[in-house]
Amino acid sequence: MNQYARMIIVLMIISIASGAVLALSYEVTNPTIQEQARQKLEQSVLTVIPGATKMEEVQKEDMMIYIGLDDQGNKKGISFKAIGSGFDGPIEIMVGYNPKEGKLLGIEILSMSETPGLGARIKEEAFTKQFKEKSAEDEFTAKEDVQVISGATISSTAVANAIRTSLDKIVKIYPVGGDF
Amino acid sequence: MDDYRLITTSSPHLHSGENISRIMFSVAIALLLPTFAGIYFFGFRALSLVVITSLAAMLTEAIFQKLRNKPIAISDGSALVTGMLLALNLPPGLPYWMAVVGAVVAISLGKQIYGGLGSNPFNPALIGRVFLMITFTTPMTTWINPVDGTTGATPLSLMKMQGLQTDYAKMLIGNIGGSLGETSALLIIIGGIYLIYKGYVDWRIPASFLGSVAVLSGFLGQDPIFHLLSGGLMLGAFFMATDMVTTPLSKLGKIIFGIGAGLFTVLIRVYGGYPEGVSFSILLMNAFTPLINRFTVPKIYGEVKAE
Amino acid sequence: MQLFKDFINGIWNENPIFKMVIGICSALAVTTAANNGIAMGLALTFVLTCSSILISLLRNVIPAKVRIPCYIIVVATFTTVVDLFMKAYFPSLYEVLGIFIPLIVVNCTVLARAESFASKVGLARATADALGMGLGFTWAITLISMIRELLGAGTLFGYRVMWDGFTPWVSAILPPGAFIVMGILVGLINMINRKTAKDTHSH
Repeated sequence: MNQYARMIIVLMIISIASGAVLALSYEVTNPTIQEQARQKLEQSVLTVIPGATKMEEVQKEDMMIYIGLDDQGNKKGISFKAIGSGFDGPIEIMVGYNPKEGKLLGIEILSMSETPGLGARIKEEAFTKQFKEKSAEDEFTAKEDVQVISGATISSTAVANAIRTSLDKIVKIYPVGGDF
Repeated sequence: MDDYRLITTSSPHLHSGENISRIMFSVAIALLLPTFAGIYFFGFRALSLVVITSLAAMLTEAIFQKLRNKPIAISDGSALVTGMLLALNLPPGLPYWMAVVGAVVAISLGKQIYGGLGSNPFNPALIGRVFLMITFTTPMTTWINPVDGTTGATPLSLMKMQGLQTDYAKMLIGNIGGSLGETSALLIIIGGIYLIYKGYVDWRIPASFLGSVAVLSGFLGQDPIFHLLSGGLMLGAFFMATDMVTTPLSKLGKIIFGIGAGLFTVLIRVYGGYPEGVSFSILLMNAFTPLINRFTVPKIYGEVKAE
Repeated sequence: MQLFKDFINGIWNENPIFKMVIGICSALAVTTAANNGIAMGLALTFVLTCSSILISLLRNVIPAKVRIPCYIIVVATFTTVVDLFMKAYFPSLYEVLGIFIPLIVVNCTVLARAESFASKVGLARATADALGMGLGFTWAITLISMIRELLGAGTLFGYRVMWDGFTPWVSAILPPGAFIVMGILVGLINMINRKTAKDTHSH
């Protein structure tokens, strides 16, 4: 056999075999991966909306909004993702909010890559719990109505700003005091 | 180093009677001035911190020289100076064991691992300080106020975080929060001038360092006098940016070094995440030193410009 | 005997991390906790063993001129399989190891063993070598990550082992800590080797 033909054929066979293996593994794992991602999302939505046991997804303008429902199907609040730019990359935050009262229900940091021991402490409850009960009319200014972690001003400010920015959009979609 | 057949040094090749231990002990004496200021303002704790850090530095040096089968040369005083400098760069309230860790790291990872005195590319005391800074960030940025001993902030962090201005006279004398030996600008300047007079410190480095900080901070709309008097700038400019081993050899090189360090200091202070940038900027310029040396090789006497 | 020698080679004599210092990018980046070290090591061992076996079997089929693309396809396939399965069944681990799993494709250890060993020897020797190299990589990065986790967080495999008032040495789990810990370990291992080399000489 011509050596060039051989090269092409061998490479092709190996590529096809590889493609087959990959397609198969993808088929096997994909449902689980999707399920994992959904569960993780639901988990964080339920954490930031106290009392909620189920969630419902709605798209409003360019924002994905997750509505938290309790067992009886009553709406307990909504949640949305806020993304801020931290010291070392993006910070993704899940924010729980009650439009009727115009108050935050709680937040959870979904992902971040801040410095361990400093910026990474935004994940700690000591920091996140201060956002509970905060009003949509609040300023969210670091060092004023938002307490910063000492040595991690940038990360703390990023969280506060991200929430403020997304909250502005949400307030336009769901005016304070209105239904949701 | 005894078995070296060929020794190359920069000219002139006259022996002035100076040697390492004489230089080092003069530096140590000059360092006593800011040390006294530290003891005066922060009390007994400052004294014990300096003693413990210096002892730890010398002990580490001796152990490493023993391990490497080299003659034990702690009597040359270089480990003492490193230990003292490190202590002067620490917050007075730092736990003793952390200071010891800093001294061990300064001597082992900052100096001996490269082959000992004269072979280290970075200032060992600053390696120790920066290691402590990134390792124990909270204790390393917990400052105590002189006199009453409560926790407070340094003028730089007051400025950066709350926009508060501190009184110049207080900053000159040293009655402010800060590292043990960096608060009294006045005594540091006196110590520095003594070393310049003795000829162990080239005036070009502190002058260009301080000058570029003043010019650039003024240019950026900051208060130049405040920037000159605050933080570790004076201590850095007179005692750490002038380390013979880790700074350029030529006169022009020294000026480039000083300007570069001043530039980084202001950039870090004004735009950076940390309130203070003197140690980082000196270490950065230490890294540039070989490059600066290469670009500023003095013209050989009698050489004609090639054209 | 030969097989055992091939196996031990990777564990100690030619340890990829401590002796050859190859593939250290992932070794430095993921070693912030002992669990990550083990997981990364085992993932690499799996990819390395599978691809060494396949490459050894195909060594007479693959034409010399296209061997590198062939190796890369084989390695990339196994890596992607690991990537997908880890994402599906160990999501929390995947979150930490992140992009370093796909990067096994370009881990020098894998390609180096394929090119310099698996493509030249039979199935048994290739397997022994791959297992040795993989486990050598695993113990090395697990050791690094244990030290870093112990100092940087005061825990081991997630369990608190240090005393209550322990102050974590944050820099140990920052990038400089990776270099310092690895540097000290390489130094220690060189010291052990020099000592043992002297002993065998004197006997």
